[in-house]
Amino acid sequence: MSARGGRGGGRGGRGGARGGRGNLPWDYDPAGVQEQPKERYPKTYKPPRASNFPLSTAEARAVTYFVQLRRDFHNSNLYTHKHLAPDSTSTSSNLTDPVCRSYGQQQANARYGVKSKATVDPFLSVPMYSHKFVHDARTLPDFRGREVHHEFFPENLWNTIDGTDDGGKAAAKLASKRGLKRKDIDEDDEDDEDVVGRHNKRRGPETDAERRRRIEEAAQGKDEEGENLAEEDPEDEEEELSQEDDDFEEDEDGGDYDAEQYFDGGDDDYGDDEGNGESAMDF
Amino acid sequence: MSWQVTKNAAELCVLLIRELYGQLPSRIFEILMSSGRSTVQQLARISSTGLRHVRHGLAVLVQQNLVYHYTDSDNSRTIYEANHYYAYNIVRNGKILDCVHRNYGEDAKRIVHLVMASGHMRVGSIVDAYLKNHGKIPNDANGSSDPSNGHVNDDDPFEIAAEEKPQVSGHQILDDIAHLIAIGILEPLSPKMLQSPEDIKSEVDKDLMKAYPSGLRGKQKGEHESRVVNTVREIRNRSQHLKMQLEPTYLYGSGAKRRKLANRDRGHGFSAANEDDPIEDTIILRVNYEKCLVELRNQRLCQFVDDHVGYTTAQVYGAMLAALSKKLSCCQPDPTDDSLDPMNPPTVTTIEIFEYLKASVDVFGGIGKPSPEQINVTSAEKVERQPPSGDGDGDEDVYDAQHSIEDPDNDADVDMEAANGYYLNGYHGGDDGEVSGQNGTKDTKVTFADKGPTKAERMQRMRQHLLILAESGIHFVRHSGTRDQGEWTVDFEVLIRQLRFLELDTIIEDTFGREGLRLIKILRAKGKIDDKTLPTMALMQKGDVHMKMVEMELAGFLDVQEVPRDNNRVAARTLFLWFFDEHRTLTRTLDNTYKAMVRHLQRLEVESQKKKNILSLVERTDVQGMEEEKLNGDAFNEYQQYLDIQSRLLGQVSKLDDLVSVLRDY
Repeated sequence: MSARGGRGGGRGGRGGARGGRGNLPWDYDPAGVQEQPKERYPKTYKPPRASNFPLSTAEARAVTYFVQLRRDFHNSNLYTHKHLAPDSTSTSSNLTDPVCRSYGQQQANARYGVKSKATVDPFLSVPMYSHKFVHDARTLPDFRGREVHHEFFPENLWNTIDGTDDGGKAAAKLASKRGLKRKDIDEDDEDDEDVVGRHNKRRGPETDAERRRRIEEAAQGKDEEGENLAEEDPEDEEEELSQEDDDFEEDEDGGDYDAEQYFDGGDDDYGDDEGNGESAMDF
Repeated sequence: MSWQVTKNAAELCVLLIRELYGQLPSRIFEILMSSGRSTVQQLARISSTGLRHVRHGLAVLVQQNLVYHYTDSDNSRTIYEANHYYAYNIVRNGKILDCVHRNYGEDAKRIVHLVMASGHMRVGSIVDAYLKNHGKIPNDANGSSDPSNGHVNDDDPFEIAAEEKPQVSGHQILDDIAHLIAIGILEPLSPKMLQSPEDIKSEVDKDLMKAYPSGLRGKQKGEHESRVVNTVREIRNRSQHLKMQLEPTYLYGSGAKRRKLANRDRGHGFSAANEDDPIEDTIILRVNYEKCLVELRNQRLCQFVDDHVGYTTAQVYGAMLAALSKKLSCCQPDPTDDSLDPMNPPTVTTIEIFEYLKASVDVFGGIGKPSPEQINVTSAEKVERQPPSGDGDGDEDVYDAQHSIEDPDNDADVDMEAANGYYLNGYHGGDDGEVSGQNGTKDTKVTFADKGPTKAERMQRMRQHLLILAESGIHFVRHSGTRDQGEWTVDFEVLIRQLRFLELDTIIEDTFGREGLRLIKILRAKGKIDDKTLPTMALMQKGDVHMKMVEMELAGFLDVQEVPRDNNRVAARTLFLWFFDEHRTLTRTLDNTYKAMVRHLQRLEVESQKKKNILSLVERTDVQGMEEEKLNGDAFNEYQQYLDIQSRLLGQVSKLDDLVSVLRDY
């Protein structure tokens, strides 16, 4: 068997075809295809235009109904508003390119804005008459005052749908009174199997430099981005910060140098999910 | 119900959730899609957000039926899993509402709208919400003055009909809800339905295994498996109880009651006030997308007939499908379910169909008037008791059928005899060939007695339309029996397959031109063809054929197989067999369609970002619903522009979804 035959046999049909290229009856001629990038679309490219294909009445009605449905849900308390970080939307290059490549969860999360006391726009935070017409930018759905049917929710969401999910603050406070340290609580409810993942994922996300950058960003405020009262409410912010505190074992409370927490007092530091008796049940 | 979730499909689901339900649930759903079944803690870790956020996001997703959850009874750990089926169906919400509106009326649409907006809902609160939104102010029932509805200025064709409607009472709403349950558009929700099918199965499996403490042996294995399947089915059917209870009253009862919803005729003829409430108000309902899909399929098939045969025939077909679909609960029945026999699909009789035919349809139009000797009655009235054979020569059938539709004149095929009556009757009847089904009702040559035809005449005429459908090469209808003036059925599998090919052919023709389509049709009909015989068969130049084939191969529509004639594998001594892989083409086309939908939704985000200022103004509670009065000229124009762009983008997404439905779901 010739060498070529061997290759063809080994790689299946296609390999053989490539080997015998010159002899093929349908030799594909690449001369017609120019590989250099062009300034414009080729003149032969004529995409169909939407204006040439108007919607039929049924289709238009379907769109209307969808928009109605969307508006109804957006006016309900379960809708969480869209909040992107200011630098992911402000530049014009990003505006035209909605496809945001992100590698890893950390970059994906960076797209979303943070809502905390430090990111409030001082020019818009003073109550104004027109504010009563504007919906609060909601970052968490609000289940209070809603009829919910507990039998359809798993037990560990019951606090949430009752509107009593405070991130486990009460339990954590109790624990702190009993003199437990945050670390102890952590170890209580984290399974051993998860330790690796925890180190990789949870400690990984924010390095010191990034954290500084974030604080700087927050300090600069959002002068240009008034409406962008971004994501995440204060408690969560604290929660994240206290997670970071794990990075500095000797500095458990975050200390006075923690700009964002300077005025919040150290008490709430324990108030995060990890210290939650209820969440221990989830495991 | 099961389909491959590609990357693009996953992205699409996430974008849809973001569009409708907000940012937080979409973030959680994204993680669930990419990492599979997870607990709350795992989700928090992967997303590096707080547990509280994760819990709130999940709560919204559960409320909207977008996740399955399962709590293990041993360690009480709860696992969440993305329900991509429900997530994808968000895109169809608008269409479903439109379909419900058209078939069952304004009130039904509002009820479904309420249930959709809140995921699942108690019957009592549906009634309350309905009365709150629509009941109080008579004549304000329509969208135009309702702040939540009117902001897309679209003329509602039902406006006049709804104008003079008397006020509705809670009881009437309950009645409507009961009807919707009987049809199957709403279904009672049970906690089991929020568990994934696999979880239910494994739980049942575990339960039943307790009977065999020492494991399964030999014969027991098969026994056990069938018991598992039966129990799972029983669990699934449990929610059908209520539907079955209501069916006799609402679907098979007296004609007046059945059509009440459709006619929106509340004023007279029907007094339900002294009956008991048909359903308890503690039942919790959600939208059953499987049944909605059946309704959408009916609509699509009507369109198909309208394109191929004519308007009036399509109306008759619509009535036939409506009558048939009350016996169908989903588009693609579960093959493991042995209660359904594929050889004996449900049938409807002519009389049943006639009850569904709207009085406004003029069945006397749309058919030509050939002389009696031109009709082959035995062929026309032929009864086929068996569905057309499936895979074996299915390709040939399709090929023939499409050719016969395109150029019936040139069709010198063997089927000519069977198809004879059809052409004479429908297409080529009359003296000068002008009387055609395509002209439909506009045809002035056809004049029948217009002085109040009797019911029997109308029914006879409707039967003629059905016979035309049965005779066409595309298997729209099968005349399966003679009971009650004829029994009819539809072999959906065969029919949808043809529709699928039709859609694919359109894509191929648009991309590669007529020659490409011709080559692919030949390959589809003949299977694998040597590249030397292909040019003669296609009546094309050898070079042209090769160019086209390579082009289509590069695009992934065709593939080539090499068969060496001897050990040397020289190109000259090798057979090159071209073939068309239907399955692969379908999946590729589907994936491209998802991608296109994703891009449209992304574009929508960009557009709303561009018009951020005007949109934040429009969303103010004092402006919403009164944009025209409150906004000044420029701002209003800008808002109109945005609405225009939005409706084009969303409209295109829903057109793409039509394609997905045909290729995947119907």
